[in-house]
Amino acid sequence: MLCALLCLSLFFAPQVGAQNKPAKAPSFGQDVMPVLFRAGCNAGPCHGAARGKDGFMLSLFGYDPAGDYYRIVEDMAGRRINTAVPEQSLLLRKAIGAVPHTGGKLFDDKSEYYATLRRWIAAGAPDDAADVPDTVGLEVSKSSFVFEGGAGKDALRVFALNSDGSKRDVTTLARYHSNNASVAKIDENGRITAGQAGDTNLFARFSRFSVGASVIVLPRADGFVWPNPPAANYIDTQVFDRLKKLRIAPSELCDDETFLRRITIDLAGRPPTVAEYRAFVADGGAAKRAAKIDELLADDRFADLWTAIWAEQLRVMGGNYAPDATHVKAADAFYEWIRRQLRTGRPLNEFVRDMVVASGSNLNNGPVNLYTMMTHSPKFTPKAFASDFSQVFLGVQLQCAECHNHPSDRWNMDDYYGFVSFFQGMKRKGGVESRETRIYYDTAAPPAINVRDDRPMPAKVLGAIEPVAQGGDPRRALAAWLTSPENDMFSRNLANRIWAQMMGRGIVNPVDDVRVTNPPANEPLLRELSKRLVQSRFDLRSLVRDICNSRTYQLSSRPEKSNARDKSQFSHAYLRRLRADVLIDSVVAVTGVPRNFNAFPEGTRAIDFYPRLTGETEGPKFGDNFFKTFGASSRASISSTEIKCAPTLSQTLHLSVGDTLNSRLSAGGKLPALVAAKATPEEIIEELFLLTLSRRPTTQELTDLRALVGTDTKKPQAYEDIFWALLNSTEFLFNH
Amino acid sequence: MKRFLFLVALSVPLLALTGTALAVGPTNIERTLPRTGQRGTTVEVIIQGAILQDPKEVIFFRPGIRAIGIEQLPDLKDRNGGPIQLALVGGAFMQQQMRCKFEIAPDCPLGEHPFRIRTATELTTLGTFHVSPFPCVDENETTPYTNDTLTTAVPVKPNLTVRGLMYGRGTRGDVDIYRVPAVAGQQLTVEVDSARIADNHYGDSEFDLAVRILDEAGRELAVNDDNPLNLQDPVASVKLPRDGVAYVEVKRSVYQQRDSQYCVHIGTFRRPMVAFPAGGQCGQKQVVRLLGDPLGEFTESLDVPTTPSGFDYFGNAPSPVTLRASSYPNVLENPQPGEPAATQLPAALNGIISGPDEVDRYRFAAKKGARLQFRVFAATVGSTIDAKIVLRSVPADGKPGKVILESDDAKPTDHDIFGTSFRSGAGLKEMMDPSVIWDCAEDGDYVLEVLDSSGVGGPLGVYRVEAAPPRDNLFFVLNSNVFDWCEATRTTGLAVPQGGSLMLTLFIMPGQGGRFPGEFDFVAHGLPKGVTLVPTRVRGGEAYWPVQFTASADAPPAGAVITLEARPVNPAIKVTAVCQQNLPFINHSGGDAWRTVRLDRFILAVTEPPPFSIEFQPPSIPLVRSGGLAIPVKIVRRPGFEGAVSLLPGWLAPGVTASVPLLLPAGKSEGELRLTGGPNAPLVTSPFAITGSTVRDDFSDYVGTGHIRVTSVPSLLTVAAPFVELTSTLLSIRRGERKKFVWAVRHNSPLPGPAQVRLLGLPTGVRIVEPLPVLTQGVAEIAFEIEATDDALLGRTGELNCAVVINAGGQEIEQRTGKGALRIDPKL
Repeated sequence: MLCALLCLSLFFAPQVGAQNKPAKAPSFGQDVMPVLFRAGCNAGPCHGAARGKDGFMLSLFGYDPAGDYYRIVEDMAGRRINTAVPEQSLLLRKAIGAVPHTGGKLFDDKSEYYATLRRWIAAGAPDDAADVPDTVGLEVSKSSFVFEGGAGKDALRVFALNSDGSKRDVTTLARYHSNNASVAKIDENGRITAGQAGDTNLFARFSRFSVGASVIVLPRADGFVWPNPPAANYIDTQVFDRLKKLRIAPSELCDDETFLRRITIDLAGRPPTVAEYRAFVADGGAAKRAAKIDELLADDRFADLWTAIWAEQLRVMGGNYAPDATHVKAADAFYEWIRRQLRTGRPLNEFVRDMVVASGSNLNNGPVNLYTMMTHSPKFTPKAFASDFSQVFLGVQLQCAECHNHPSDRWNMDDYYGFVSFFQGMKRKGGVESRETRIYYDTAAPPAINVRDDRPMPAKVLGAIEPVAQGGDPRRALAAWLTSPENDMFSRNLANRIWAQMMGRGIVNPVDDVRVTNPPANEPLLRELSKRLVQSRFDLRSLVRDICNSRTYQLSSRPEKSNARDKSQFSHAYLRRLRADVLIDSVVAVTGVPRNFNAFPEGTRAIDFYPRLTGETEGPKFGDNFFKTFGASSRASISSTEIKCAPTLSQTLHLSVGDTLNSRLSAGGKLPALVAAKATPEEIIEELFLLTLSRRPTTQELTDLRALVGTDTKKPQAYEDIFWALLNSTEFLFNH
Repeated sequence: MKRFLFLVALSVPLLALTGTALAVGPTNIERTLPRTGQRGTTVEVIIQGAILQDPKEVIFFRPGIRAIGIEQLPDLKDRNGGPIQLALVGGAFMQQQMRCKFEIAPDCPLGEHPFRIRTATELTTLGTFHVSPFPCVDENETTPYTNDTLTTAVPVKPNLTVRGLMYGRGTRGDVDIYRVPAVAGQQLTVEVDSARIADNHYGDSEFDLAVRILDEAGRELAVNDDNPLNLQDPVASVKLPRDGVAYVEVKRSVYQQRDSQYCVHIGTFRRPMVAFPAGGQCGQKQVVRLLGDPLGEFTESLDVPTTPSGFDYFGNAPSPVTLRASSYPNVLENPQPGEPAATQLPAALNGIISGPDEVDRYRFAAKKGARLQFRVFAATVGSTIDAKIVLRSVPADGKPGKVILESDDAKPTDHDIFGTSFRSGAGLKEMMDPSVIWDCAEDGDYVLEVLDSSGVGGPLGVYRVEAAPPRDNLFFVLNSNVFDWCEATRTTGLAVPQGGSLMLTLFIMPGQGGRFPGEFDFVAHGLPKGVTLVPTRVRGGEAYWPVQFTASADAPPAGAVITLEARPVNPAIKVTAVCQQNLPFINHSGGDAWRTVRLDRFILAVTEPPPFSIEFQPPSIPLVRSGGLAIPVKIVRRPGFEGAVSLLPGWLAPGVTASVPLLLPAGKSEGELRLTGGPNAPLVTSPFAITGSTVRDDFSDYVGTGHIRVTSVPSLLTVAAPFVELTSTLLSIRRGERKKFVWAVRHNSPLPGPAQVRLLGLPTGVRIVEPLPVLTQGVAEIAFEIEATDDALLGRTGELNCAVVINAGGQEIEQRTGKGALRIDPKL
């Protein structure tokens, strides 16, 4: 302990730029609050809890200094602070464990923390005068660290930037966090210890700011040779640059069979047909992959698949007699509007802008259903909507800032309530028929009130200081800011989501948890994707085309020695279980036996499905048990975690013994015709492989399976078994 | 590897029924086939439903169609020859059918023509038929899904109306495609009547169709689902780009497994969506711009009707653009954005909200005490905006002052629409248009602002505000709120039997801003020969009042369209009476009318003599508050009629109830009808009569269809204050004791005779020792001898009162009075 205290005192440096000034009583905001923060007093599990702890409440991480001052000094006067005999102050005695304290001993009476608090109390526990500077920013001594060969130590120093221009070392007052402690640990004094090879980020938090530093722990260089793969485009340049820095070699390019299946599933939501397979394999052209990408992007199926993705995200559901403005007709109007935008290649920023500013009938103005479908509740709640809105369109989770400044991001309560005010005037009223609700903005609605101090917070975009112009519908200003090419929060969010859809993982992951403390795995890559998206005028196809044409997208899923443990740098293709809708559509496409969905006409594809219900539409709703089993979004929320692509036991059971596959094997689909049409068992087996896996069987597979067929080569039973096995194989269920 | 196979045998039940969707409501006209015909032609029509035996006459509300050659057809059978077992609400089955021909005059008004059918004994519920300007053909898709592709499209030539069926019993949605010759530059317009011709008790989205116009390659040239002009019924129009062919595709907006009828008008007609200005001054010519046509706007000079109302402009289209005739001049918006237009009221203010932030302003002067109605017509006339008005004062600096009132939407009654539940809109575009009354509190200048509350605006954002003192309108409504507000002949069927009489109740409601408080007399216009209206003077302020019609024995069986006038007792007062019925033709969940047919007159029919008549002696004594009155009733059966008869008052004055109908079973002809006066029943004399109804065991009397009803001769019923009031103090009695329970008597009015008094509400174990006291005129107190047994419940009871029963003139009147308390104590 003595050693630790010694170290502490070494790190506890005086204010930089504020030297040689006469000693003053510690400031409540600049000195006392940081001690409480550092000691964890105002953390969530302690007195920062919503109702405090053991009768004493502090604002979480100190978002409300005035309130904290009142509760420490003025509430129950004399109990917590004793200015006559500072050492007898309960605040100090609890902290050093002199009296029972649920939080235990936090520091001792020799520490600087103790000294700071004592001096402040001895000075009469003054509140800050108006000239006490505020912390306006945070800096770290070094923004990136590289450790060689899986070992090493270093240290991080943290500086607070004050409103008077001064700079202060707060290394001993900050709190630290590592996103991956197995790669790099950071202790309470900012000392870093490297661990296993990999990359991560470290964070320091002080006042309301968090600041990070990246860490790369390189594997040993023994035998590693950068393979120098050719870069097909800017994506590869950024990905490979990062991989090279990490000493991770990318996998090889995937073969044509794998590429065809991957791209067809990703862009069309179905496996390639046998004819498509044969044509593609037979094509010896150098540009055939690019041509295939263009062909699939031009097909309406691409737009239809993205319609399903957006509809899932925006919680499109409809119910006959739905009471909350979410009748099937409204859902359909929204769904078809989305489809039309995507089919016609509407720039994504315009697509979003139309939704944001929409007013009118839920039945005949599709985009207005952003305000019905994203809520599915009897009453429109601006707070809940604002949080969801920010999460969907910016990837930012604001909801923490409803009650306190965001603990791990830059957003404070003013940001939150200013953003809520954009939706304060959203109202609903009846239309001209039972199914109809009119959505409009009531310009007379007052702004949201900051619950901390009851201040009205006029509509203000995130990060801005001044509110938008008042009067009229503020959503227009919101839409203009949101969808502006200059707003990289928006374009980065879109780019990241598109990337995640194509690659199976976001550069920021999860895609809707963008925050300072969850930085992108490859910042230059995300920046470049965002820039290209903006340059293409927010053209979805353009960015998808870039991604698909990159070598990165076309890498094999087979890992190399150096990249086997990589899960975030896209050194190889990640295995992705097919989305629930794509899976059932693939089963239908392969077997030739349709699958019907409740309240939809026969022949409806799963990617054209959304839950059509009877009655209310508040989630969770799947509309079909298959979607529930295979992890489609329940549409109960807009969270990206609603969609689950992890395999489960119930999925295995469903496919092996349920009726999705079994009822389709012997039915009048493709199999009987195929058996009848082909001359030999080998041809039939090969055709089944092409249908399901888009590849020819290996010699061994063919030999083994031919043996199963036996002598009665036209008997369907054996082929049904083979078909069943192929459809149950991981190779079919995953895009690889 | 072991694999499990589950073989599922699927069977798809086939529905036996064919044809169109059925209402399954408490009506008796369920199908009219076809629903549409061309004007200037004669169309054979089959009408199917319940209780359609012996049809005599089809009576239309509007001129232009005459039904001839009426004949009854054999009952409907299912495929096995049995009766169609499709139950209608009320318990009957759709079984009967009739055939006739509709002669449609060449000048017959286009659109909807409601009608009723007079049978020998009945006036049916409402049916509708639609008139098209074009030749009408049937789709004739006898095998489903045979015209669902461009290659199987049905060839048609404009201008034509196709009567189609949106097939809904298959596993996929029906698509009907029509192939049309295309001429470059020519207009092709498509209009669909679907919701507008539907008749379904519980409907959802099966009537909601969408259309597309496609080019020869199937590329979309125009598409429409909903629109401000015809709501769910789509309209699409396009200037054709090339010679060759074009396709018209009709399908549902949302997949539904129900059949529904539609008509699609395919033609070269202009299709404006809204007119500007949307009206003119009564009796004058008004030049209007017709907006929204794909070939551009055009102007027309219209003759504005001479009376204030809505009126239609059809052009050569099958459905109209609606305009307003107002009794004051038009004022147009100031072309200078934001600047107010100088306005002299009363006036009709006209403008277009062409952009999201546009606010049109009208400045006018008003005096304290002035009363103005601001009634907006925007959505009503097909505008795309959701109009809102804001009234501001104008302070000395001339800038917009404080908001005095603002209004966005309206209740149906604000737009003079009464009589049906319209909880969710009911297809009433009027509900989007505000209408308010303003009482000016201060002399000064004011500005009326008009804007689009949805913040959109647009080139079709037309509005018209009628700003004028409100009129004194009285609306007479035959309420139909028997089952989810659907129609029932019990409450709306004015079938008066020869030599008989019928009383129905009118709902009387002043229009918005109406202040007419006074008495008036009903005057009927257009009654059939031999029918008279029983004269009654309507008390001022009454919301309900009976009308009773009597047909002489020799009145010829016939139907007629009638109207009722309100003639104030004070001849200096002018009141405009409006007859109205809104009958739901599509109900949504919970009796929420979606589409209604609105009528501005009633149909009355003389039918065959009734099988019975009703006799009763008019009450010689009043019904008293908190009292009962028993009225002996007798029916006189026509020879051969032995059926049961249900009797109820033809109308009940406010505060008077008749708890259950008096049912006279077969063979019985006499009984007592009991009335009860509420404690706060108004002390007035009102019309009174008794209506009897035949009783069926297959169709509820509640609905009324299939029943013959007849009303007694008219009489009067007086509600009076109680004759006496009895009071007592707390009485204590011990078990085993006998005591006198004394009640003081206060006389309010002379007793018509001696009254016997019963003590009610005694607790268990306490009995009255007879004789009961008799109350006569002038008695100051009465006493009951009561005895408490050893088992009497101990404690206090405070719910004792007295029944004073008086017999006078053969009628019994019972009055409840007093509130006494009794405490049972243990034995000493």
